[in-house]
Amino acid sequence: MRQSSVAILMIVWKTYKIIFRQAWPILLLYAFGKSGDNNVRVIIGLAVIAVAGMVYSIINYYRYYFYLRDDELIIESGVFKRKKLSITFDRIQTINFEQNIIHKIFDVVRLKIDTAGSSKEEFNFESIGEEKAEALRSLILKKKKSIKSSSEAISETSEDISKEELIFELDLLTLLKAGAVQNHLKSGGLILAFMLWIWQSLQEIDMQEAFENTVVENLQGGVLFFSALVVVFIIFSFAISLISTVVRHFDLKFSRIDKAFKIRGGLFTKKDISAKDQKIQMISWDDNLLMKLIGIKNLTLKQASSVNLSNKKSIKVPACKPEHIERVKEMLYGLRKFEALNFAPIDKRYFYRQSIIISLILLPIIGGLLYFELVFQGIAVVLVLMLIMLSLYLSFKKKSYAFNNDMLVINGGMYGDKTTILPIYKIQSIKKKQTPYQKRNNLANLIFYTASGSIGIPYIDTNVVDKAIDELLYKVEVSNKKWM
Amino acid sequence: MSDILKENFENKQVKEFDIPQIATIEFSGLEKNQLKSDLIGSSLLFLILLIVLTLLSYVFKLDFFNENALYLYTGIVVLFGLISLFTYYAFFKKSYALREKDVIFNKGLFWKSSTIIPFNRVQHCEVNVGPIDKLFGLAELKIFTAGGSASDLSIEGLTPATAQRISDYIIGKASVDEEE
Repeated sequence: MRQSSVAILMIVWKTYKIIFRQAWPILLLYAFGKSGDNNVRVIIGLAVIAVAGMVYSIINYYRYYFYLRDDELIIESGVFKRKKLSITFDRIQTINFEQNIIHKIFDVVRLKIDTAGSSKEEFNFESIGEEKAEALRSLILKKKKSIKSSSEAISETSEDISKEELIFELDLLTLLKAGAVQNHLKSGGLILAFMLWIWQSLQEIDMQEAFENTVVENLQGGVLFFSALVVVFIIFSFAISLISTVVRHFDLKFSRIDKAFKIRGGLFTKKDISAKDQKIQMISWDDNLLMKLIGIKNLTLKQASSVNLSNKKSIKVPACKPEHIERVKEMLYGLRKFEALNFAPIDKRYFYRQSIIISLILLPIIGGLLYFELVFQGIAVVLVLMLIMLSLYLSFKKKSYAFNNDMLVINGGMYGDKTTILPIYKIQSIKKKQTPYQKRNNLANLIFYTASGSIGIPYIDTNVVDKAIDELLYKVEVSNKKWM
Repeated sequence: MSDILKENFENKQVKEFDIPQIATIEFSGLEKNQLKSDLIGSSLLFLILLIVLTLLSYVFKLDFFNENALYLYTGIVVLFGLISLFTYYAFFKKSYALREKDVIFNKGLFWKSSTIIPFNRVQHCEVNVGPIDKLFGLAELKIFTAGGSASDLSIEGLTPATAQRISDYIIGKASVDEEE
């Protein structure tokens, strides 16, 4: 089977992108180096590169085959060197679809196949007819299941298999609401970086001085300008996070299909990502102060990743209601596994120690400022100190942990709340860490490593830590469930 | 479905004293030769630094290095002394232990850490012998998990035979669990 002929377009585009990425310094040099009689040569050069790229892409397309044989997917590719890849179905972890605008116009999808290999083993088909892709996916999944069911025990509770069950979908209004309550500080940070960059550029062309003169000379104007800047800043931060949320999650559908979760959505590029239960190592949900107001949380399903432990591998579901999270918990683990969880707080010295350190740093500064009669600045630093103390206190108050026979639950957060749950048998290794201060005070940090990242609990009594490690290790070591 | 569940469901009661305790483990230290190897390693680095400094200040006679040579030499010597002291004391804090089902490695002079990897989570093991290690008859055992580089263990200061034996032991245990 070949890819759909639309793929030529995609491959040409991709080849151009690669060429451009590799060669842009040379191109720039050509373009701006010497003007005049070189122009013709530049254009000819570009044309040659473009045609060569096009020809290469077309050959590439015609030499790219894939077919199914027995229980293998075989891909043949390569222009100069033939490459033959075979992937057995049971190694295929997930099959994801993606659609950008061009894909949508031609009714094709990009197919991404992720395998359980230890190195970077992902296969992309640039474009395949939508129906063909769907058929391929269901065929592979079906064959995979027939292999699986004979060799592997079923470890999850799932009522209805092979039928897609919608957990929830987002209408535009909810999506807008969700966008409005996202963490604006993140997009604010982006804008801040952008403004700094502009400031730097201004400095370079000596504009800054002129700019400063006009602003600083007229103090009232300066204050006005500053507050205008703040307002613009807030509006922009708000707009950016709102727009990015809507673009990313437009028409979002979150569903359960055959022991996997599937999320579909996107305005320009429609993404279709699925996460198999087995591959999910931890799940977490969090909110912030604004999200609390309308009662939604962001849910993250963290998948094991063969390539690296990047965020790419986690599925983020925005605007989950508490009942949706309960449902995900039930589908994934069964609610029975959450019984008998007694949460324990962390040691209060977590708060004391950090507050003392930050105070020791900031109090002399405050003293110095007041000594030099810089009252306004002094008060500002006092406010910052108070804010930090409040944050530390809240982050201490919100931290707690619990585990029973099956599950480890860790709570955290600062102004919002964050909960992470992790089946104990998914733990890869455990680490106990102590600073000199913690050693003196019989405290330790406990860190759990999983195939999708690590999570820690700070400042726990060493006796409790040792006992917890003993128990958790015991549970990991007697478990013969496959973590993936 | 409920049959399958029952079959797989296990919830044996575990009395607290049945669970093996980490606090009671005896740890073994590393081979003494490792300390020599570590110190020689840092001495070599120190020697290279000294040579570079001498070249810069007396052969090429760069102003800054020529004028401040004394301070720079003192600085490097003091730094070397501190690093050697640290290496010496930190060496005795490194220890490891093997149990039936997991491996434990401790380290840290000031900032202590101990890492525990259950055998049924080990992906693979590696025995490395570096050039200096070779002189002293040493080897390093690396144990990899799926938890990323932060959770992987590397136990240095073993004899090649011990490293290989431990590696075989762990791999044996890991594959037994796989079959179950």
